[in-house]
Amino acid sequence: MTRYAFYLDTNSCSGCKACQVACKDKHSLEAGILWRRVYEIAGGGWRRVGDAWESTVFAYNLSLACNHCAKPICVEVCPTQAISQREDGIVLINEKICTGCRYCSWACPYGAPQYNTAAGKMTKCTFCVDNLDAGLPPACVAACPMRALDFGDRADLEIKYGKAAAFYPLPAAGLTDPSLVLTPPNDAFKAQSEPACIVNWEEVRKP
Amino acid sequence: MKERSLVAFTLLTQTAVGAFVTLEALYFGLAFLAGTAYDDMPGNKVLLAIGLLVGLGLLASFFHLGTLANAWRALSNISSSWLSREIFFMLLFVFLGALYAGLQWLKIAPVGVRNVLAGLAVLSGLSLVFSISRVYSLRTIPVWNTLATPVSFFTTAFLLGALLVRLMMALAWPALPKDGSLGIGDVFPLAFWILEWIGLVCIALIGVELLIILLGRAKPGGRSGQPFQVVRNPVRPTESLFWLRLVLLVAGAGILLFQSLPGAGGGGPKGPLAGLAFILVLASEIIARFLFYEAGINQGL
Repeated sequence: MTRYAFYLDTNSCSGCKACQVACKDKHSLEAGILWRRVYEIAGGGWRRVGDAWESTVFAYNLSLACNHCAKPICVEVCPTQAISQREDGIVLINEKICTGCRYCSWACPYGAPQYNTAAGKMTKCTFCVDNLDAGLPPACVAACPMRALDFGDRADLEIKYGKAAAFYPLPAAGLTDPSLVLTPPNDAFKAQSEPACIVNWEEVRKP
Repeated sequence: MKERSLVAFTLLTQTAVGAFVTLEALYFGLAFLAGTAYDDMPGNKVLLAIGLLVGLGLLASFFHLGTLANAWRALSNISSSWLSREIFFMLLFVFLGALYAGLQWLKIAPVGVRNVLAGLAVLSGLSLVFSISRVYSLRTIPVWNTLATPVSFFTTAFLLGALLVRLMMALAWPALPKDGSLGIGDVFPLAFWILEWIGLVCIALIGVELLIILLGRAKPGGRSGQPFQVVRNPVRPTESLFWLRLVLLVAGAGILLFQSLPGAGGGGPKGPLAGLAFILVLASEIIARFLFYEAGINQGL
């Protein structure tokens, strides 16, 4: 049985946000809602080494949607059982049942469930199940001009790209076991020793 | 200040549970010390106030929901969601508490039956406070997922509940005939002796809160402490609000201490000062709860 996962090569991602826009367009998302978000991370500065100054500046992008986790905390905490996981790993919200309490949005460390104020419901990435059924890739994957995004069976992707440890600003993978296969940015190690932050927070923060 | 409805819901229900537990402790203490059951003191008014608090709390929680029509479904996930369990215990507390209050008011059931109901209501109330604390003990929100969350929620419940009961009893005191015609006049000095002890317990609870605050601030934070905890252009903790909360709490403790001095509170705690102590501590707890939500919601991506 296929267990779907997304793949992201952070070194290829140029931060163009075509994935973010393709998703928003396909699902006609309300203003403020982004099922896929591109986080711009930057940090570092200048460090004095003897008489010289050395640059430790770095920047990378992180394109994230719902990771359709193997231990989805949103499914666990939803009081109305509006969120469920299919056998293929895809986590979906049944908006008819959702009471709009936003608890899943707090619990998810990836900011995946997003609140639609007008509808009074939570919404999230559906992995474009309709596309999958039609034999097409999810809209975000199809739109990526750098081919930085991919999708497929999690086990296959892990064999192909390996399993990378979480890096800033990702939470520890053990919390929810995300179905997200990553090639980490070359500068990921710098974010552990240098000051780093998400520089486009106004754009990507939870609505 | 986004989570106004949840601040109101959690504080109102916790105060209600704390007040209920205090009232029952008071009844139990009186029965134990005086040898007879005294349950027709101004306690009925306290029960009414508790009902009001719970009702307002429920109302406040509705404002948090996007689709009220689906609220009834919130009991669907009791097997894994603490939010479902919280609502279950809330309803159980309301049901048992209302049944007990009704029987108490009308005196239509034997004391034994009422005591059992009160005991069950206390248990469901304590389970409610525990469930509320578990709702926030999410493994993905490290700042909430500590022992401080349940400890501070229970402390808040007992502190505000006890101060409310103390205030209501103090206000009822002058209006009551002192000739024993109510059949409880002789017991009142004893009740106030217990209330003075409640005041001292409140001071101890404030001490617990101060300890939690100190331990919370001493914790190493930031990215160096937890490599994968997201720290993004951190929202500066609202320092001034934090200090205001601390000052209000200490001021409340000061009043309680003053009232417990020999001579100062002779004849039981006086209404106005008891009211001031309650208001100061309540204001402090409201600020603390806002800060609690601010801290947690700013976690994660």
